[in-house]
Amino acid sequence: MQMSVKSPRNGCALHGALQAVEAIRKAVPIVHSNPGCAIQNELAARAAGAGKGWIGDSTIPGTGVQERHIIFGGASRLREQIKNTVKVIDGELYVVLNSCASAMVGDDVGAMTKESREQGEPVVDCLTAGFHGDGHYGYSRVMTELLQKVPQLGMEAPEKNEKSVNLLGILPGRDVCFRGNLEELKRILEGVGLEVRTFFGAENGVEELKKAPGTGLNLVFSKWGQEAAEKMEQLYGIPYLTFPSVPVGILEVRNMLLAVAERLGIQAEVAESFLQKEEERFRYYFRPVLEELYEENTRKSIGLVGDESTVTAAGAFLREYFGAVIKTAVITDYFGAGNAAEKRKELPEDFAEDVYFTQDQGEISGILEQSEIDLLLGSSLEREIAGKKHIPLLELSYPVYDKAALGRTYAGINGAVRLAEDYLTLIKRENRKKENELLQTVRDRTFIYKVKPSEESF
Amino acid sequence: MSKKIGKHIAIYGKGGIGKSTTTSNISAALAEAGYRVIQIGCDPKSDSTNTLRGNNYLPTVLDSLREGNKIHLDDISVVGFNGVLCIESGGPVPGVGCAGRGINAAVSLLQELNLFEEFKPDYVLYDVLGDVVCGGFAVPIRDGITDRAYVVSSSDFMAIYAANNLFKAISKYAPTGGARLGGIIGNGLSAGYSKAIIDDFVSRTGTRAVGYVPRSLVVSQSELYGKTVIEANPASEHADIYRGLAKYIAESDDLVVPNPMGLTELRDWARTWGDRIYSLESGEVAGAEGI
Repeated sequence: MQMSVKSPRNGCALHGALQAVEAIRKAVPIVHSNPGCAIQNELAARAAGAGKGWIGDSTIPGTGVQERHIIFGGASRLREQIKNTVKVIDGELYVVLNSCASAMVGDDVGAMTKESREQGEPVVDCLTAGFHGDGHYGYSRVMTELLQKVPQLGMEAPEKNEKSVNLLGILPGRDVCFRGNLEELKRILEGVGLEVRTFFGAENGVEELKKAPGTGLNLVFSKWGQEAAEKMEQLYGIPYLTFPSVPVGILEVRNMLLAVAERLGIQAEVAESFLQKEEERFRYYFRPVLEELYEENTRKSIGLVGDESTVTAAGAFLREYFGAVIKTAVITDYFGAGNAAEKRKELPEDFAEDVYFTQDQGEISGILEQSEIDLLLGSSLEREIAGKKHIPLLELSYPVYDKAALGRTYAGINGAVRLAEDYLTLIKRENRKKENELLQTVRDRTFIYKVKPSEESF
Repeated sequence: MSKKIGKHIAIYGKGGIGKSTTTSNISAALAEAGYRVIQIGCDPKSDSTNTLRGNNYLPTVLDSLREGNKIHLDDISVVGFNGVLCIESGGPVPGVGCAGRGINAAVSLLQELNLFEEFKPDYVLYDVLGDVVCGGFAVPIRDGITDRAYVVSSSDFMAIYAANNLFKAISKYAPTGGARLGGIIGNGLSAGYSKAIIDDFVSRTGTRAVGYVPRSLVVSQSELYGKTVIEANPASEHADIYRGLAKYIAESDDLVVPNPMGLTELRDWARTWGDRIYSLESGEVAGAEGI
C-alpha cells in the first residue's frame, strides 16, 4: 500500500546508528556513503539539539563515494579511508557504517574491516543502509552488533561481575535528555553498589562495550533495547529485565530498584536504606507541589506525542503525581511489520482515553485538533497545532528545536523534579496569562462603563 | 538528448546467443553500403566491437571515467572496418560495483561529449548485454536514447525466455517514449523446427521475425580470424544474409509494442513444443503441423 508521511521525524537506519556511535566516547564512526548522508544527520541533529558526541558533527570521517565508486565498487575507497582515519583520529574503536548506495552496489564492507583488524586496528562494521528502517532500527542494529563484535577485539575475556548492569534502550539524540537520563539511572543504581555501564556517558564507552559480556544483568528501558538484550542473553548468558520506559518518580524508582536488587541478590536492607534517602529527597521537593495542586489546578486533560517510552514515562508520572488525565496519546515509533527490530508494542490498554500510532504530522495534527486537551506534551513539530488550539506545549520528545538539553533529565528522582518544574511552570504561565486576559477584559468593560454615562451627560 | 542524429538501434538477447557477432556484421554491412555507423558495446566485457577493429586495444568509456581525466572522443573510440566508429562502454570487473549504473554513466557521457553531433552517424547500434536484469540495462531503450530494439534469439527455450523478458521491459517503457520493437533476429538456427518455434513465438507475442541466420562454419571461422563475415568472407551466403538484415533494419520503420507471455503461459507453450518435437523425432506424423 502506498502512503505519504508528512514531516517524518524518525530519520533512517544510518542516522540512528550514527547518533549512537557518535555518543560512544573513544569510538569513531566511518561512514561509507556518498556525500550527504552524514551531513544530513548532522543538520537534523543540530536542529534538534541532539546527539553531539566526542567525534561527530561535521568531523565525521566518510568515504564520500563518487559515481566511479558506484560503478567499479567502493571497497578500495573504504580501505583507504579506514587507513587514513586511524592515522589522524586517535580512537579506541572505529565503526564502519554503510549506506544505501554502498549496500545496493554490494561493496564487501566486511572484508575491508577484517583486513584492518588483521593489521591490528580496532575496526568493526555495521551494515546500516538507510533503507533498512528508521533511526530506532539503526540504534537497535548498531548496539546489537557492537556488543557482539567489540568484546572480541579484546585479548582476553572480561571479568564477570554479577553486581553490574548495562543500560539499553535509551537512544542518543532520539531521547532528547539521554545524557541526563543515563546519568540519573547510573546514580540510582550505583546507590545500591552496582557497577553501571551506560555506553554513552562521560566515561570511556569503548571500554564499557568490551566489559559488557561480564555484566550480571541487562536493563532494557524501551523496546529498542530488546534486540541487543536478547543477543547478549544468547551469547553471554546475561539475563535481562524490561521496563516500558525509564522510571520517573519515587514509586517507579522503587519498583525498578527492588526488581533489580531481587534479580542480583542485593540485600533488601541495602536497597531499602538507599530508597529511604531518595524518598526523603523526593518528599522534600514535592511538599511545595501539594499546595500548587489545588491553587493552580494541575489536573489537566493532556495530550502526548512521541516515542512510546517517552510518552509512557511522562504520562504515567503526570497522572500519578499531578492528577493529569491522559486524553490522547500519539505513539510515533510504532512501525509494526515495517521494522524487524521492533519486538513489542506494550503500551497498557488503559494508558490513555485514545491511543494512536502514527508518525505522519498531518495525521497527528488532525488527531490533536479533534482532541479536547488543555495541555500538550510533544516535540517542536507540534508547536503549530498547539498554537492553533491556544494551548501550552511542553517540548520533551524528538525533535526539540530551541531548548538546550545538556544534563537535563526527565528520569528517576532528579528527572521527576525537573519534569514537575517544567509542567508547573507551563501551567502557572498559562494561568497568569488567562488571569491577565480576564483582568484586561474587566478593565475594558469598566472603562466603557465609566465613559458611557459621562458621554450621555454631555 | 536534443534532436536525434541518425537512427539509434538497441540490440538485446541472452548472453552468448550471438548479439555481438550479429551486431558487428550488421554494422559492417551498413558501412559497406555507404552509411556512417557507430557501434557502442554496452557490456562490461567490452568485446562487442572486437571483430570490427581486428581485436586492437580500445580503452573503454568507463576506464577513462575511472581515471578522472578530461575525456576526449578520440581516447575512447577507434575507427574500424569500413569506417565504423567503435566504442565500448566497459564496466567493473565481475563481482564488484554496479554494471547497470556503468551503462547509464557511459551513455550519458557519450551524449555530453557530443558524439553524435561530431560524427554525424546515419546509424548507431547499441549492443547490450544479456538479460535486462535491472534498470541500468534498460537505459538504451528508455526515452531519448534509441527508438527501436531488436532481439537476437535462437530457438532454445532459455533464449526465448530472455527475449520474452526483454519484451516486458519494452512494453513497460514504450508508453513513456521508450523504444519499440523492430523484431526478432533468429540466430544459430540448426534444427528443422527452429524457425517454426521462433515464428510461433513471434505470432503469439504480436511481433515479427526479421531474419534467420542459420548456424554456419563461416561465422565461426571469421570470428576466429578476428573479423566480421562481411570482411572475411564477403562472397559467402552468410554475408548476404547479414546484408539483407542490414537493409531491412535500415529501411523498415515497422515498430511494435510486444505482448509478452506470462510465466505460466510461456511454460505451457514450451511444453507443447516439447511434445511436438518429441513426436517428430520419434517418427509420429500427427502433431507435427506447422513444422
